[in-house]
Order: sequence, then structure tokens, then C-alpha cells
Amino acid sequence: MASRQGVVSISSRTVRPLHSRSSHLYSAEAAATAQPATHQVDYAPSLLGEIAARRAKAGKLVAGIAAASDSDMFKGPQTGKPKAKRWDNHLTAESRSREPCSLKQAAKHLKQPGLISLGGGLPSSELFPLDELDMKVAMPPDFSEKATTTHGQRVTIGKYDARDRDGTYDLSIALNYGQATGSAQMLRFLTEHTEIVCKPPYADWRICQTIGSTGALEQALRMFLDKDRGDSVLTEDFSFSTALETIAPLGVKAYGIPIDEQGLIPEAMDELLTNWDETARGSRKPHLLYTVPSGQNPTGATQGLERRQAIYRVAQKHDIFILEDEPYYFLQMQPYTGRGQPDAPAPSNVEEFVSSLIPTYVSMDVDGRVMRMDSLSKVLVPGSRLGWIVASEQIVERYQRHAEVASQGPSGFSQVIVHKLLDETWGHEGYLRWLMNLRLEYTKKRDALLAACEDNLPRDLVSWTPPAAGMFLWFTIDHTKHPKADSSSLLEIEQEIFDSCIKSGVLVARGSWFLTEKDSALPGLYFRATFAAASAENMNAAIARFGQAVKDSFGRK
Amino acid sequence: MKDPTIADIDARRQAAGKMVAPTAAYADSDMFKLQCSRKPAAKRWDNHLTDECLARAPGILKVAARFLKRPGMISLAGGLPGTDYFPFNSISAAIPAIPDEAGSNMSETESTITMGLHDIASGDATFDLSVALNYGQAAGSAQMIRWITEHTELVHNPPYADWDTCLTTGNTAGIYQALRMLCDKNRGDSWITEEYCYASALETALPMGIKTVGIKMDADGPIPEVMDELLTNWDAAKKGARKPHVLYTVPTGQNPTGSTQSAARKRAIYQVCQKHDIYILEDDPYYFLQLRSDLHSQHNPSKPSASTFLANLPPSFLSIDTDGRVMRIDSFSKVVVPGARMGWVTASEQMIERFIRHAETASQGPSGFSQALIYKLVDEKWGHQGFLDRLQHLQTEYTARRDVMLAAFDKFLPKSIVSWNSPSAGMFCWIRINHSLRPNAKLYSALDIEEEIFAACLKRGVLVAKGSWFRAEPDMPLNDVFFRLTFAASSAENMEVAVRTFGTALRSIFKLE
Repeated sequence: MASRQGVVSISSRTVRPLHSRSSHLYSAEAAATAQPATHQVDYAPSLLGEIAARRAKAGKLVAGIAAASDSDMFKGPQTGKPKAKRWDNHLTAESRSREPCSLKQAAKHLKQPGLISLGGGLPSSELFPLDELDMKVAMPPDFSEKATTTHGQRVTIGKYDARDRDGTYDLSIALNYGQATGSAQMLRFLTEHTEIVCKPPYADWRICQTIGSTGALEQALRMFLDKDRGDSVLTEDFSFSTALETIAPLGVKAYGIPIDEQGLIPEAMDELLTNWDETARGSRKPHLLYTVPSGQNPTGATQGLERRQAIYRVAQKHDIFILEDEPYYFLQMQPYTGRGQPDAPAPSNVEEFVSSLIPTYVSMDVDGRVMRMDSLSKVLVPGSRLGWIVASEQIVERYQRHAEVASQGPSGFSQVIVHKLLDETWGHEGYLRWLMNLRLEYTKKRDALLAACEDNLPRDLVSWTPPAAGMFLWFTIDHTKHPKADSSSLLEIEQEIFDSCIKSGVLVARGSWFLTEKDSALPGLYFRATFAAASAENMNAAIARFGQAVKDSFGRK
Repeated sequence: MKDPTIADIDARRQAAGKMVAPTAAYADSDMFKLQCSRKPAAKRWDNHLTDECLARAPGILKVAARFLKRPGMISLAGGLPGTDYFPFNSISAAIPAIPDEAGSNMSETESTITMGLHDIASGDATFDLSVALNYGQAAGSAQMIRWITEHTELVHNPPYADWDTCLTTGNTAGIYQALRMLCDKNRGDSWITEEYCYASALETALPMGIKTVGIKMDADGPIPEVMDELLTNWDAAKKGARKPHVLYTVPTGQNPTGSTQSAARKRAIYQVCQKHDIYILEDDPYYFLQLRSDLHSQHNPSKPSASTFLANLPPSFLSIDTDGRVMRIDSFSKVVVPGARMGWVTASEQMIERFIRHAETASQGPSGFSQALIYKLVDEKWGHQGFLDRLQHLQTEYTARRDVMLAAFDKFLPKSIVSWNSPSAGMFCWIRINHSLRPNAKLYSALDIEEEIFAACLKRGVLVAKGSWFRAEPDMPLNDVFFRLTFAASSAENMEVAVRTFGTALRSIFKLE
């Protein structure tokens, strides 16, 4: 193993050139435009430099086994920003009653110099049966699998890197018990990443790592929804099926808000809330919105900036807390220019890339009324089971109390491996380049699916909006032209087309699977297709089969 | 009936041929069990389950995935990312050898495990990063479920037929999900625990509005007669909760008391649970940290064989569970690494199915990195035999640590006011302080004296855990003063210093010498 020690120094040397290569980030010209004006240009070009300088000034991060940390330790100055509102009335009795763990409270005494603890039940890292992890990872500029196989970067994580090799994180720390917030090392990276991408406009925002957005959503719902109080939640009228399956057993209702090609319609939401009749609905007026603003699952709709601002204003008006679930945020693609048309110019650097992203709800959240749920599943690997939330200190503290008993935070293997890649090997800029590359790759996949649709689908029956983000394309089928439109229900026609698809060898998802209000009538005939995983050839064959199934059902040749 | 052996398991694998389990492959224990001679089926627990638990429906997208089995099917339905955008090409780990008791040189025998992105496609591997790092089943990978099923047969051999397993994100999540399955405040539910109980379990139940009822303990753990009496005379109105239907217990090296239930004690408790129809949550993270009494004996220094090692383990609740009324909660935290955030539960098929439905929305199962590395380690590198060797090594290590602490107790603690039991498993010593011997004891409550000792220790630089932190019913008056000391993590020197300091603090408060 001794021979591998050399590898460590090589890998850490490659980190710095990656930053210094893009001199524009440090140039005087860039600095002149660095002053944040509105959230549209919140991203300050010098931010990466600022973060690097802040780290240098703070000195080496020292965070041992189960070190407590929070975002305030790593944030830039929040001068002049207001504090978040408090959400006591929105929280459930269950959430409000969570007490800090007595053992973890005792850990505060560990700061006392020279203290010997016989208090905790942590195993000794001497007994860990792993001495070192070594991996080969993708590197810029060519992130492809082929390039990684031939000349990926080898990086190594030792057991005692923090103690013996001037590292900040190692196996002895990551593989022991930790805080439910996740490690200080990852929290630092994610706090900085949030500053780069979201720049929340209130002061007391914080981050807590999660075991993925699935777990985060269930915890969030339990924080806000109590069936004994007659609570309910608002969402898109077609919504992520797992979210609906998480909500239903809690005994609370989900209400769907009408959508258009940009997702949730704020006027419809306002009207629904303004005219809320508690007795007729059987639920009190909702105080929670669950939304997937970018590349919504299943409709693929992406809310534009003005749409988000309008929805936020409606949430303010009715005092709604917003759960912003954004797994596809970084799968925002290039604008669709149409077949045979020249591609829209790709962002030429990470600064342009970040500016090209639609602002997040967190970035306009002057009240601290948003919990953003982020995940590495769609942009790195789903198997990391690692994500994070951004919300006000109050909300994150309640979330953390819950995570202490529900999960104890994400896997240490995941944290230390992802930290090695994102923080120590790629750095912020390298990660942004990775995301930029992903944007272009998903653009190609989307365009291949759109081409297959244009070639194979009957345009008078099937319509779609080219998705601006995510993995999904949503087909609307004009059921009024169906020969059995008067005699059969939409559900029956949907079933017929679906069965025919299965028979011909294509699996697409039925619109009804995503219907928020399961007991109300299906408002139209829809199917969802994804372009994430299939090859271009397979997509073409699959869409041809789907098109034929639709035509067959409609009695067309 | 003959207990299954490692050779039986090897033979079954051989006969079954190579396991083929691609991305998000479904698996359950029945795929990997040995043929068992007629065992009864588990009882059903519908009345024990909560409305929330019963309302869980299978995920619609997971149900649709069954169509993928058809040849030639192209899926545009799932939202799984393609592996061509996974930035990890391979992951390796350096594994120290397991030293024998003479302490062989580890560095010479260190070895490496490696998992690549496409090991399955390019070789004869059964698991690779393309599978482990994509979405998977909430129950965990087929590869890990196979190992856990075999391990369960080897160690517990449950006496009913339809037992099943699934992975968890650790025992914390195991307890949390089990409670959501079984206890509902709107039904007035309560649960029974040891009178001193793992603090995190108590903190899980409290915000859910579940009342905790503690059972008096002796050196062998909770006292079955006390439990029977409590349940027989249960007065729902007086207690403010309906009669408990769940027992939560840590049978081995209990946290915080360090007590271990004997086989006879477990049988007696099981019988009380049968009598009152109680479902048992057996939380057993320290099961394999059974400590040895023969370590310093010159006459018996050799390592026992696998079969002797297994035979020497006390029976678990699972191994005597003829009704299927036990959910056993196991973890890799204490025997591999806590940071894996990975464990597993074993129970009847009905209970595991409900548990998985919840895991689908609560976690989607443990980390793929954890599964990949633990699989490589416990299945491919160690195998069942190597895992048992590892456990024996841990026993030796923890026994030595315990003995250092007990020797320090003997040397430094004032026996006139302090008493303790030698723990036979786990990580904890539990010390009782006879607080009535404090000068002017009548002027102070037990809680005051406990705090006084705690603060005096802190002032002198030692952190110990207060017994009152672990009380199942903190509103009841505290009658005894206890402290929990762990021997798991400190060096021998630090343990000696800390225990000496603890003794000094006590002498000063109790005005001894």
C-alpha cells in the first residue's frame, strides 16, 4: 500500500490547476460585475475565488469523529439579510415535541481539552476492517466512460489521512458514527455549492444532509402534516407517484392544482385557496405545497422564473410553506431549436452555465418559507443515497432531530467517496463542469427522443412540449377523436393503449398512475416516456411501437 | 433437526449456479434458503399493525416493472439514469488480515478487494458498480440478501418456515420503522422496554405519542414475572394507554446496563409474550460482542472452531420463535463499521413485506457504496467462515478492553459505595452508586447526587453517562444512581486514568479516606 501514497499527492495537485486554469473567474473584469443585483444575476463571477479565499483564511478544517457542524461555520457574510420567519403553527405536534438526544447533548462536553470520554458507545476505529479506499474517477474535460476507463484519475482515501497526511477527512472519521446532519466536510462543500447556485436572500439558512430525497420528503411531510388536524397538501394535479404513495398512508389528502406547459398555474392555486371550503373539502385550508419546479415528474414541465415568482407570491398570500423537490434542477437542457436547426450555443464556462439556470425558489425566498430538497441521484449516482435540504435554521433543526431517530444520516462510505470526488478531486468548478457536461449529454438524449416522436407519432392525435429539463416527455392524446370517445371512459382507452404497447414491446407510464386525486376523473389521456436510459435506436423503435399502439386504438392505419 | 452448516450453504450455492441479479433486481430470502423440513407458518399480525402500515400500497412504478421481464421489451417508463454517466470506474479497498490470537503481522497479509463498473458484463462477477450505484430495491440488493439469508440460517435457523429478511439503513431506522408499523397514538398504544433503555429508542417513541412502560431488571435483564404481572393486571384507564402489544428489548450486552439474557430468561420472556400476545422487537447489535471468560486461562488459549463458536452463542429470540412473533434487528455497525449505515431485519414474510413498503418511501434502502463494499468484504473476501473469524477476533479485542476496565474498577473504585457486574457481552459497564451513603444524603434527591457526581467527573476531565438518561419512565421518582461506562473506544491508559478520576470524584463527594 505504501506505493499508493504517491497517488494521493498527485491527485491533490491536480485539484489546484483545475481552478487556476479558468483565469476569467479571478479577472478584474469579472470582479466589476460581481455585485449581486437581482436573483437573476445573483451568481457573482468571483464567488469561486471568494470561497477559496474564505477556506484559506479559515485554515484547515479540523472535524473528527462525529464532529457537530452547521452551515454557519462555512457561509460567507450574510450582512443585511433578514432572518427567516418562524413556522411553529405549520409544524406538527410530533415535530415540535422532538427533544435533542441526551447523549448527543453530552457530546458538547467533549470540547473540554483533555477530556476522556467513557460516555459514548462508539467502536474503536482500530477495529475497522478497511485500511484504505482507492478509486478511479472521471476527470474534466472528457468525462466519458471510455476516457475514464483509459485515463481516469486514481484517488485514495486512507484510514488516518486527517491525522497522518494533512487530510481533512478519512475512513476513521467517515466510517464511525457521525451526526445526523452528515459530516462537517461534506456540509462545507454543500454550503458553498448552495451559495454558488442558490444564494438564499435570508440570513439564517442552513443545510442538513439526507439519505436521498425519498427519505427527505417523508420526513418533511411528517414535520408539516398531521391527519388529526385535518391537514392536506397541494401539488401538481399530476405528481410524482412515490410522493403520492408517501402522502396517502399518513392519512392526509393531496389536492392537485391545474398545470400548463410551465407546470403549476399560480392563478388556479390562488383561486383554490381563496375559495377553500373546509367543510366541503373535509380538510382544513392547506398550508403546504409540494412541487417539482424543473422537469417535473411526470409532465416534464419546467416553471420559468416569472412562474416561480408568481407561485411564491401566492404562497406568501396564503401563508403556504413550499417543499421544493429539485432532483432534475441540473438536468436543465439547451433550448430546443428544432430539427436540423443549429444548436443553441452551449455555455462556454461555468459562470455562464450557472447564470443560465432558472433561479431556485430558495434564491427568491425572502421569508425562509422554502425547504429545497437536492439529490445526487440524477447527477452523480442514485446509489449514493445522499442528498441535502436547504431551509431556515428552525426547519433544519427540526429536520435534524427527526433524522437522529429515523436514519442517523447518510452512509459514511457515500460521504467520504463523494467528498473525495467533489471536494478534493473536482472542486466546485470541476463539479460545475461535470454538470455542464451532463446538460449537453441530456440535451442530445432529449433531441433523439423528440426526433423519434416527430418521425413516428400521428401529430393530429399526439402532442407534446419539448422538455426544458429533466428526463421526461409527456404526451397528450386528443381523446375526443377516439372512435369510442362517447362510450368508453378515458381510463379504459388508456388501458387499451397501454396493453397494446406491452404487446408490441414498449413500456411507457400511464398518466393515471400520477393522478394526484385518485378518486376524481382523469382530465385527459396522457403517457410519460423517459429519455434517460435507452439508446437512440431503442428510443426510435420504442416510439414507433407506441405510435402504432395509439393509431391502432384510434382505428388508424 | 440438523443445524445448517457452511458446507450446506456452499453446496446450495453450487447447485443453484451463478446468481444473475441486474439493476434493481427483486430478491427475497426464499430464493436462497436451504430446503427446510416441515416448519409451521408464522402467525399473522393484522391487529398489531397500525392503520398507516396497513394502508401502504406497492409503488405503481415498481409494479409496472414486472413487464420488463418480457423479452424484447424496451422501457421508456423508469427514471433510472444510464450508467454511462457514472463517474466511478472502479473502487478498491485494502483489507487488513484478521490476526490470529498470537497476533500475526498484518501488513504482510493485507489484501485488496476491487469492484469495477461492468464486472458482471465483462467477467463472471455477480455484483458490480453499475448495479450497486444505480437505483435498487428498498429491500437491498439480491447479492446482500443472499448473504444475510445464509447467515441467518447459520446463526439462528428460525423454527418457522416463512421468515424473510431485508436490509435497513441501520438499527436506528429499523426501530423507527418498526414503531411506525406497530404503534399508533390514536389507538392509545404503548410499548414495553427494559426499565433502563437505549435512549434513542425512547426518543423515537416519545414524539409519536407512544407511552413507554419499563420492566424492572435484574442481572439477567428484564424480569419475566414482573412483565407478566404488569400485563395481567393492566388497567387501561389508570395507565392512560391500552395494554401493550409490543416488547422492545436488547437481549445481549444491553445498552445501558450491559446485561445479557440467558437462554432460560429468553424462553421465559417469550412465554409471557405468547400469553399476552406481545410482538417482540429484538434489537441485537451487540450479539456478536459476546465476551470471553477464558482469555487469560493458560489452558485454553486456542480459537474455537466455527461450529463451537456458533454453538457457544446463546440462542436469539429469533431462534426460538415458533410463532413468528419476533422482528430481529441486526446491524453491521458494531461488527464491521457504523458508517456503513446498514443493517437488516428478520421476521415473518408478512412483517417484512410491510417493512419494505415503508422503506420504499422512507429510505429506498441502504447506500449502494455500502452494499458494494460490504458485499465484497463479507461475501467474496471473507465468506461465512471468514466473517466468523472476524467476530472471534472482535470478541478477543473487546474482552481485553473489558478486562482492563474491570481491573481499573477493582483498583480505583471505593467498593463501600460502588458495585458492578462484569458484563458478558457488549461495550458497557453499569455501575451502581449507593447514594444513601453520601454525607447528608437525606437532604438530596438521587437525581441531585447523580448530577453532583457527573459534574465532579466533568470538572476532573472525564465524561460518563448518567443512568437517568436511559430511564424508560423519566417521570417516575429516581431511586438508584447508576453510571454507564464504555470500554469500546478508549486506550487502556485512558481507561485507567478515567476510572481513577471517577473514583477520586466519588471519594471526594462521599468524604471517603
